[in-house]
Amino acid sequence: MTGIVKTDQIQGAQGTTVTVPTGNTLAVTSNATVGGTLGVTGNTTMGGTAAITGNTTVGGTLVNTGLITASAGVAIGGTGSANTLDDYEEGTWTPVWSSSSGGSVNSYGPQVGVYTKVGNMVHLACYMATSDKGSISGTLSVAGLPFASEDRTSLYQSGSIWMNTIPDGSDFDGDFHIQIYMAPNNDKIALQSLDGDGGTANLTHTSLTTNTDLMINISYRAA
Amino acid sequence: MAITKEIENDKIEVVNKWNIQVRTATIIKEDGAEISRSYHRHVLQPFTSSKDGDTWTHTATDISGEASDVQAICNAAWTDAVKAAYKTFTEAQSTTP
Repeated sequence: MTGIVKTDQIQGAQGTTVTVPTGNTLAVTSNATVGGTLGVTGNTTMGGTAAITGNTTVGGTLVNTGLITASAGVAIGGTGSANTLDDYEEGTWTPVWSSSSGGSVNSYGPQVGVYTKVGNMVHLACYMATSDKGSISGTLSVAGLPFASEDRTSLYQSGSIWMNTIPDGSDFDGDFHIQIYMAPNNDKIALQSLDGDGGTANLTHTSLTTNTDLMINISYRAA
Repeated sequence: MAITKEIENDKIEVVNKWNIQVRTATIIKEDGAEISRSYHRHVLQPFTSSKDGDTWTHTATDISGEASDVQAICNAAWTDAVKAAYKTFTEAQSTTP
């Protein structure tokens, strides 16, 4: 037998099987509809796109060498919202000094910020240096953040800071511990020093010099 | 082969009433097909607030430098009621943890 070419339907008798002998290939050049379960004991190769409207269960290891997109998120360890990773994003932001009393920094040297958001956690880092502190005055904070913090009562969130080139004798000249935090539902990072008397002092323009620079790393829950 | 760069605010979110979160996308295209997309973000609140003694000062955020679509969202979201709620919320918080 050299082959059977059927131009219409192939149909076995009720309860029978259509068999393609070993060494031969069943080639479907158009559509194939499987009303029941399609069992494949060998490998399956698809050159085109597989569109699956129902659920897919993979009992073994799923290896994917291309991009996986999951617009509804990925549920791990459960299917509720607390188990679902529904956001991931990388990007940049521009750190700036923000003043409570007006004025602004005239110019900056390096001024770079990056973030990675995983679920509702934002991990960010920045480095900035003033080159002309201008007329900025009052209590200072770092603004320009990529996301506001979570609105949860009393959830203050802290991070780490490195600061340099501060006027000698200031609360921030390095004699005391410097710390940062974000208040709930806020878009700025506050800077404080433990003032040596058991209290805290907020950073003000008097602790800034022309060339003050700082680095910040903070991870916080986003709104 | 034409390489183009487009910058657009592809996401403007109003979060917790008064936070306007802006995502600016820089999109690189080759012959009209997107080959790269990167993000830059910032957040806007209606005021910058500070406390001196027992007195609070709320300085309105200057949004004149924002894109028109961002300004429109800010103006729509920051109603008098929302601004009042922001002030009430802020003043109810401790200035330090």
